[in-house]
Amino acid sequence: MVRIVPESYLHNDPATVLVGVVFLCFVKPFGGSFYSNPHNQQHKIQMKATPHSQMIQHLFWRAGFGASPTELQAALSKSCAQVVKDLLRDSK
Amino acid sequence: MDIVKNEALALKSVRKELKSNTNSREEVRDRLKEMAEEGRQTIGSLNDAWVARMGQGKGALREKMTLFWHNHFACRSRLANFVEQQNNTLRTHALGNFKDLLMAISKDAAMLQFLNNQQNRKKSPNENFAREVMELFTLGRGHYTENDIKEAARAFTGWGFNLQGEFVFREIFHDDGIKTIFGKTGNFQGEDVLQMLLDNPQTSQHISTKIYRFFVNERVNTNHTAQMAKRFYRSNYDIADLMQFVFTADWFYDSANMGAQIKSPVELLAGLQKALQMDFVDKTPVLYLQKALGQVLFNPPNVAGWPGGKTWIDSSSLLTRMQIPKLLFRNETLHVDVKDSGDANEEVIKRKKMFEVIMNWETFAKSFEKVPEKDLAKTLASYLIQVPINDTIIAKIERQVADKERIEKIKQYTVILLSLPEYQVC
Repeated sequence: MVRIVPESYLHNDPATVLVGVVFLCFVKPFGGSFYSNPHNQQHKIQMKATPHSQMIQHLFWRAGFGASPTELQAALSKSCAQVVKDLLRDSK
Repeated sequence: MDIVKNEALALKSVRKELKSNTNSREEVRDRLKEMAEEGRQTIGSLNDAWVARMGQGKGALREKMTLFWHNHFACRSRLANFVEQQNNTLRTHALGNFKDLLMAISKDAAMLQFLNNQQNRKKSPNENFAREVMELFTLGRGHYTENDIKEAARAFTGWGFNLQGEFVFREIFHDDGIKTIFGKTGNFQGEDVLQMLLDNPQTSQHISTKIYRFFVNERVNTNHTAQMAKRFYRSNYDIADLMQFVFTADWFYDSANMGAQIKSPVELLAGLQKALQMDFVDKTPVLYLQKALGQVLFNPPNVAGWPGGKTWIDSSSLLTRMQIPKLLFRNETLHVDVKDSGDANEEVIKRKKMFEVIMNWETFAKSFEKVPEKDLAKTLASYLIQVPINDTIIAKIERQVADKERIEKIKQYTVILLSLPEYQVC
């Protein structure tokens, strides 16, 4: 995905916010044009080989509130299924 | 959480004083006002304690589930001990059995009070509780008739609570007659109605869809929710089993589901605490921020809860969200004003806009000590942000922070990355 990013993007001035809003129109939660491309729609997507760390971080965000650096480091050597078990055990 | 005294009992004794005329009416009124203010402050403390618990680390899944159920069984109360009790009930059953949770919450003082079931009596039935139990808590709209609600309300007559927050069945107000609900006729009690709702697979479908929207993607994939509903129903509503199924499903890790959710205000705040291992010294701005961003814990907008998803973001809340890192780490002030709604139940939040945080940058930097200087920005981006960041942005961030000490560099990279719109999704 290629986006044009003005300098103001990094400074939170009104223009930044405008860019932010435009950006959000393109991100998945807003069903923006990139993600509403039929090839990218959820029901048509094939499981892609996603890097393990990205999957683990996704899991930590959805099953909690993200991971601390230490938690992430410890979880990277485990499978997602094992991390799920650990999360459930910690919450018993 | 266990930090609240019995406020309902204290309020009752003050009201008794009002009747006994031992004090002037003004004195007692002032006392009631003070108590109401204390109550609000206590609910504020419960709010702080819960956000801290979310950001702490241990039992994160339980806290996330508790947050989900807090929105599913959305409820408000001015009595801090009722609020605390309900929160603890949600936490206790968060990963247990949905049947137990539904039974417990249907007999919960705050919920019975919020849905006016104290007024549900044989001579004048109040349908509010029965309606919400069907529409929001179990079946969902369109899966019951008006007559089912009327008849179910009769079964819930006499369900109330005492000042200790305990469930009380007041037989004198209960309608013991024959009722016809979902085509079945009998002398049904409230518990029978809840069991009928659980026996209907539509309840499993409704809850699974809500869980999918909260934990996976706002855009529902009906194949996936059908799998979830089947599993949930077969397991007799085992919540932990359902969550394990979701988090180990291949489709959960589809790229379409990654970065597909907008963080709720509370997720955003707890996530910052978690990622940076920081703590807020003064909690007042945290409450203020929750209000500015549209999600104050224990204060959902109505019985349907926070709509979530895209509604978390508008031009004003996005500006506030993007300001947060600078407020936290650059001592800037919050440039946003929040209007009070005038709702007496609502938290009164002082306009304190300066944040004080405890954050050890050296400890945080240590986690990245093996990362070569040239890869620092990229590594921090992949740790903090759940969607790919354009190389152009990384290059611009690196240019901004060139010629700084390593720890300062990490701090500046972090503040900039957390200010990006990409940080708002997970």
